[in-house]
Amino acid sequence: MKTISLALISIFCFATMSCKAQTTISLSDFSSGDLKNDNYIKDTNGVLDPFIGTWKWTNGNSEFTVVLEKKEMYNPTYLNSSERINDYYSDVIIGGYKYIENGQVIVNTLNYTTQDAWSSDYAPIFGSFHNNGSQYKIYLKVQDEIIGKLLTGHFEITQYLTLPNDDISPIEATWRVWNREGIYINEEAPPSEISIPEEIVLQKMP
Amino acid sequence: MKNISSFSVFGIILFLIVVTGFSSCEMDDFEGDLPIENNSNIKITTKSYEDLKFDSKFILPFTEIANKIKTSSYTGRGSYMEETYNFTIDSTIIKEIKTDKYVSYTMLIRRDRIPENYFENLVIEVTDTSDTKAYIYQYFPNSPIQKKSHGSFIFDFNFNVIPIQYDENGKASITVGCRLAVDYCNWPNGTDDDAHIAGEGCTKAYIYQEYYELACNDGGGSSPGNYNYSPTGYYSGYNSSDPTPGGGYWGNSTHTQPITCYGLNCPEKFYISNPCDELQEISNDTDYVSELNDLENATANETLVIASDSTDLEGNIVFTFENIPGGEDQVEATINASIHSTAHNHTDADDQLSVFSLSDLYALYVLAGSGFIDDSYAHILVTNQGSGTQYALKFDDMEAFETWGDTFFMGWDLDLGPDTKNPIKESRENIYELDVNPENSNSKNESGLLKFIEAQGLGLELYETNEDFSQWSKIILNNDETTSPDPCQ
Repeated sequence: MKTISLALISIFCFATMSCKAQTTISLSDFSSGDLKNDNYIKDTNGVLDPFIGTWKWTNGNSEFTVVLEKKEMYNPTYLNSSERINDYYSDVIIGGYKYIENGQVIVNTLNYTTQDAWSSDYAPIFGSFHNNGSQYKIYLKVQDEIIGKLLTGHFEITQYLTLPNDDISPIEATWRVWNREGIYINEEAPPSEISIPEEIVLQKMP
Repeated sequence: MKNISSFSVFGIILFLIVVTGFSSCEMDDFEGDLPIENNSNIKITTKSYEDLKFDSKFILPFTEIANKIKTSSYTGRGSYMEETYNFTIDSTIIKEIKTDKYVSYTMLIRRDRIPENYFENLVIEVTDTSDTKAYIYQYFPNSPIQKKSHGSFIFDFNFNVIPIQYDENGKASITVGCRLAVDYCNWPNGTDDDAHIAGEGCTKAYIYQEYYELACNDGGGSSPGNYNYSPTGYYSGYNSSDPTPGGGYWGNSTHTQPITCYGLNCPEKFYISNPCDELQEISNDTDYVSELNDLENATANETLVIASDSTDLEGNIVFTFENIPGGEDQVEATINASIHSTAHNHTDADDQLSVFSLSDLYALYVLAGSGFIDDSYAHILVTNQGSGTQYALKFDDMEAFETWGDTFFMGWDLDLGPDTKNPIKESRENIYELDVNPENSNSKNESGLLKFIEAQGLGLELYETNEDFSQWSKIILNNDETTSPDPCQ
């Protein structure tokens, strides 16, 4: 009994210490210097909420659908490891996309999963809010699954209604992705082409 | 006479020597092959073996040394002395110091087993009043040699003198000049702070001699000296003044210009880097500047220029370039030999960064781990963003950079297949983008990059250059996250 009590006390102390070590910082008020000490960059003000949902671009028989959701305390582990990639946790946007070109499905990742970040069916869209940027913009990392390349980009809500409580009801957003420049020493550079729409305007689906 | 094998002469003399092959002062008077340094009747000329092989004053004693002291053979690049004098004379560069009655020839000595903490010169001294003499000068740098522009150096050192004389029987014996004289140049301000070993172009008014005297009761002339050497077997030396060059009593100062070990065969620990001087070497090279201008003017594809360097007869750096055109956003290159620096461009002002991308930093990490660059390497970027940005990253602590990269880029290049996103790459890009992204102003990206460098402990320094690539400045991050240039002097 005495041993069990000691163990419980130890666990309690450890848990208490752990809680004290991790500081929660608002996603609306963080800087790169806060990305340490297992800090939690939390969306306390709901700045990610307007992005959540289904967005669609249509042009004749072509269609590009984006589904976004919020992922809390994102910090995946290294491959086949329990060690975390980052020294911090953050609320982020993740999601998938489906591209139909001239009536033909080019790629469909909408059945994405949200648990194992190393899985081939894990959400290919990652969106991060930067409080030094626009209030309605997230910065994207998108896996182009046709060519197998991580694209960079952004997603910005450009039309919205302001509600009586000062929240917004988004109507339209721009989607823009491009290749990140770089030099590749003693390795093959990825293909330059991009197989999904690079710059379009999406409508928010009800 | 004393046998050289029984001892060596050691003069413990600390003095600052600034060696410039082609510092700014040299530009004043240099004209072709003419000896252009002339003060107190001293003329200093850098020559090659080819220049001197028909000069009897040089070739006779040179050949005599080569042949009489257990010589096997010699070529235009060196003679080989075995056993006691087991070294090769590198006659690629020969410093000739000449007066009306005196001439000395200084050459670099190389050994099969590179000494760890010193380098050596052979000095042959010919006068009209005494026998030809030869000495081995061993220089022990007290601190790493600081590389300056155009292959020149600054360093403090102690030195040993091993005199060589050969008698008619071909038996090695020794004698020694009582003084070592080094010709200095204190251009441009005539102060001690400006002092460096006189280069070939030093204006006459700035030339003066420093004398380093070995304890010596020699009567001069052809007789060997009597030496007051210490119980340790080393001679001590002290600074003297106003002797005259040439053989003879109290006048037998040995004039020489130390030829520092240079090039790839030297122990690296002799050297320390000065980023400003290294970048200035780039600015001073018209071909390199032309390459940078081409990069700056490019509007379509990204291009990588790989610069390699070698040292010419005068110790100057000579650049050669490999120009690798890439795609719109990226360029790939195979590097499997030592390089001096690389330069590349960002051509799309809308989507590309005004500073280095994280992929550029990863490329630097790959290069650092390849063994094909050292800590003098320059990672140069020119862009057409706004009025154009022109940067160079230099290592402040190359080991720290590699250590950082080992963690930060761990898993960066995992090949997971086309439909699997790399969460590490995604995460690292996201962190970098908080400080550096294409929507930022140039100044914000500049400070963002410096913030990233400081916060992550990258061991890198950021430099910028002006429009014509002639002047570099280190960029400093201020407390208010603005930046300030600290111009290279």
